[in-house]
Amino acid sequence: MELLKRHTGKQNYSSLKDRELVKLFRRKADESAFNELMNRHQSKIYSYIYSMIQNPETANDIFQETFTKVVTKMDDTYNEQGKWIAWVMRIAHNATIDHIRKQKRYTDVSLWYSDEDSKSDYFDRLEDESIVDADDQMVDKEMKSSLMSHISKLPEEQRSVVLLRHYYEMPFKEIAELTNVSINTALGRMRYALINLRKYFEEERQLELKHAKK
Amino acid sequence: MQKNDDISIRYLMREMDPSEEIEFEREIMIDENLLIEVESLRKTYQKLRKLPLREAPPDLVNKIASDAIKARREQIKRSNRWTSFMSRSVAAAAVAILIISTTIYFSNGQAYTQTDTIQTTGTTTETIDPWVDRSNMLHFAGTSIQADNPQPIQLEVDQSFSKLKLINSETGYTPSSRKIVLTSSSR
Repeated sequence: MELLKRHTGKQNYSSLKDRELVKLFRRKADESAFNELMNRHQSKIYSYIYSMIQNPETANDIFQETFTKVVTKMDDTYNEQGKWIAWVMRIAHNATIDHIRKQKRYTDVSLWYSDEDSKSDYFDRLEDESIVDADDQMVDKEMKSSLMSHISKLPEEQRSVVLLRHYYEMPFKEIAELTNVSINTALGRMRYALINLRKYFEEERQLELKHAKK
Repeated sequence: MQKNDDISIRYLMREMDPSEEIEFEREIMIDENLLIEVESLRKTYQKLRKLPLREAPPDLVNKIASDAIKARREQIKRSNRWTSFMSRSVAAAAVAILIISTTIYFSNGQAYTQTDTIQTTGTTTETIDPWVDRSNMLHFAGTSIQADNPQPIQLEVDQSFSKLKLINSETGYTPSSRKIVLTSSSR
């Protein structure tokens, strides 16, 4: 009987909308409601953070930080009329961008790089074989063979538009709001991202052809 | 060219109105270069679909969930405490206001009574100068003869007679009486 009750309860939660689940969590700290929200969205949020950062430990930290902020800021900044996931994504996006910028600042002051290098993107620098050690080169080679490595080469703002669109199928209006730019700018970033990716895919293909010839 | 590029990305991202879409598809049929550009971008965009979906580590998800529940319960408890504190404070303030206003009301009432008493007593004790009205009547208002001290009123009466002046003209047609007529006195 109890099993049936629990089962029915679970079914009820899965049929609820995000807004209703958030309300249950907000008013009663309902554990099942929060778990249901996590089940629905955790992989997309985590994938976005991971794809932006490309480092599992940092991605874990940012993922946790995102949810800590979700809980603490829920009463102050979340409006129940709005989409919960868009609000969570905004927090995740801001936390990710903050981290990337902090990293950039850190590497910018590092003496390892020349002035010329400091103007380029953080992930571009990681590709420099003179900087990374042997282990990192191995990881880098593995990454290069995948789509993820191409994504990581994109400038931060293009990368975030691509990933928000891919993982959330977010309309450009929402992407524009989330990244604080106009719709045309967001669309332009997407276009440049696709052009860059096309170039990377072509370079990869040329390299493969070269290896095949050898 | 820039305009075409913007349009092609809007088309690929399905950010166009149906009518715009039809118009653009017509344009593609005419412009071969545009068709190549759109198809090339579409191909690249399709490759993005292979981007992997990563699951967060289960122990991390569990930790986040338990922390979130704990934090939320604490927040609710705190807000309940705050609400009950506020409601108690409001109740206390209401009671205090009631007590203060009641006190003020009653003390004022007493004060009024006291003032009345003082005023009543005042009428018996205070001395008001006698005056002569338009009909040349002498008034002594606000004074009374007290049994223990009858002099003041008597003194007033005596002095008031000394203020009267004899009228020289028998007709009484003096400038002052004319003034009285002019001021529409009843006499």
